[in-house]
Amino acid sequence: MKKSLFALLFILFLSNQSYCQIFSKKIDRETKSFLSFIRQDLFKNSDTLRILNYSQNVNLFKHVLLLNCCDLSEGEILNIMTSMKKDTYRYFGSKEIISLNPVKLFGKQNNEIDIFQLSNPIFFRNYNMCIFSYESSYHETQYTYLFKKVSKKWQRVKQIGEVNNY
Amino acid sequence: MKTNLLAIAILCFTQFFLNSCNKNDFDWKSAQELSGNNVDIIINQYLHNIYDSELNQNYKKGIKNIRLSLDLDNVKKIRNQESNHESLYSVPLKKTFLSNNETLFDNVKIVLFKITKDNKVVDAKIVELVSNKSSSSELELYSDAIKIYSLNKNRFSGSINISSINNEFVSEDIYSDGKLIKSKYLVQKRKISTTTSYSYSKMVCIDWYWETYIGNILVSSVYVFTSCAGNDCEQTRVNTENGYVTVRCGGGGSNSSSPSANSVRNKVLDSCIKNLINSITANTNMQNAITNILVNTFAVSSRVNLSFVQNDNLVNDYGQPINGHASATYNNQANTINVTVEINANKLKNSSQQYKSAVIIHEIIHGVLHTDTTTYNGMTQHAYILANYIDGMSTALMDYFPTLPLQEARSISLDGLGTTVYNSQAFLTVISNYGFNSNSNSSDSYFYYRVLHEAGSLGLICN
Repeated sequence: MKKSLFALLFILFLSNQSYCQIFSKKIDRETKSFLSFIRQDLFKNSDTLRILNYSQNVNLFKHVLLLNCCDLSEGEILNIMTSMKKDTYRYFGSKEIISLNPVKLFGKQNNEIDIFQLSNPIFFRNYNMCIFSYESSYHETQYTYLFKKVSKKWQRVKQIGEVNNY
Repeated sequence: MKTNLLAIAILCFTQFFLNSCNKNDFDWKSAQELSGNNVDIIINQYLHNIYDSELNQNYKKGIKNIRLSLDLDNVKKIRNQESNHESLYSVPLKKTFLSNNETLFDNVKIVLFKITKDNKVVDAKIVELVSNKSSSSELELYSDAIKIYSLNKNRFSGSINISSINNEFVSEDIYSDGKLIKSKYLVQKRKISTTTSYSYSKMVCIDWYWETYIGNILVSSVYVFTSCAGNDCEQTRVNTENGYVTVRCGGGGSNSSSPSANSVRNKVLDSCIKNLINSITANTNMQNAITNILVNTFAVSSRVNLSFVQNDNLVNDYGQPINGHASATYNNQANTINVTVEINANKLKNSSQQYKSAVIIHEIIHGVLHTDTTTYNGMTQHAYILANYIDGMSTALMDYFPTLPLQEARSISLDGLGTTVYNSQAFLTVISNYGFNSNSNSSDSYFYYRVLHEAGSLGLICN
């Protein structure tokens, strides 16, 4: 009895690990693909993109009105809101992702201020749609956009949030 | 029994691994783990923001000087204030820091930064320790400062001069053997003079007093001097026991009453915005409302000349379009404030008339605030607008658009304040008092009506 329970435990452990790896690789791949796209889209006018060396959602996605904006179901709205408000993780993978283009990364020791804070992309509908936000702390502005995949390529649909500073 | 326990253990173990899945992705790290290591960035951002919003060149120079003189390698967290989720940090000022009179200082100075849990600086003060003991070393004084502000026992005897980040004197605390004996503040008391120096306004002067407190009880109030509109107060200095205190009251602001748009030049080409500006500045109710806004929190004796121009290419220096911008100059000789408001008609082309009007009023307020930074000393203009003008703006808008509901007026009045304000506790308090929330799926969110008015889905649209 004991032996079979331990065997079950071992199988669960292995299956969980492989599940995590698949899950991780999928997000990793999609995130890299998306961030490469926005470097060429939202930030195409920046010769050198100056960003923090991590992305996170804290204090981003402000002034985004999901009601009537994007044809979202109630469940989707709640999931997206959870990612916007509750996701406090910092992703340090931006360096590899955008380093194909001129990018300047800033860590905690920098004395520079005019840098962008990027959000983590919020994917939904099986990675076919995405909401992304970024902030210029220097200008005290923030922009949030909706994207969708068309023929496996990302396209910007529209701006869905803006924090003004005037 | 054993089997059951083992089964429960397996379930817990499985649950543990499933839950740990997300955290093992790539290089994720908890924000909680890292917050607190970025204090130097937060401080730099704060100084950059106030530097950017400051128009007074001397003050700009002072803020830049502070930034260059901060010893950010020696940031020290002094204490947590659990009740309001704020932390106090101290940063020593290097000896290269120049005080107001541009001389190198001898005493120990630190800058205290109050930082919220969401990493925003909400207060900053320069603290100078002047010890009664000539033998006190720098190290001892730093240690005393840390002990005093971390509320620990200390043996400091002497005075602590506290100044704003603009290096303007705020108060002096006298300590003896670690105990606060008394505090002295330079305070202003406004009085309306019977003299009518200008045809359109009364002269208002300010009497300045030293007020001394012992244990929060006012024990003396000593008159120091009087300043009036038109005085060159930048040069006024008060001789105190500890030297000189610079007092600034220039710019025509904070000294008198009855502001009004004495002349309006409307060079805007867009007919909708042009008409709104004409209506706002000519409409008695509206002008009274704006006047009230300005009088209540910013008494102005000077003549206010307003110029409106259209700039459809108005962008910030990253190239992002902005709704409007205000700049102002103060003519000391003529006691005149010249405010130029630029409006981006292209960005506002779809917006409701109410939203456009809110932008116009917002910029007028900026224009006048630019002329006297002492009014919002220690705050950014937007923080000051949040604290003082939102109700006035809302009333003004409802005065001009009688069918505009209060919540819509508040929502559009809250626009344009920038991320620092929107992340502040003060903002959360304001929206909570108004009955708003910040949810993306709620018609009670503070930006709900603003979004609709800005897009022109709500409100009056120009034909």
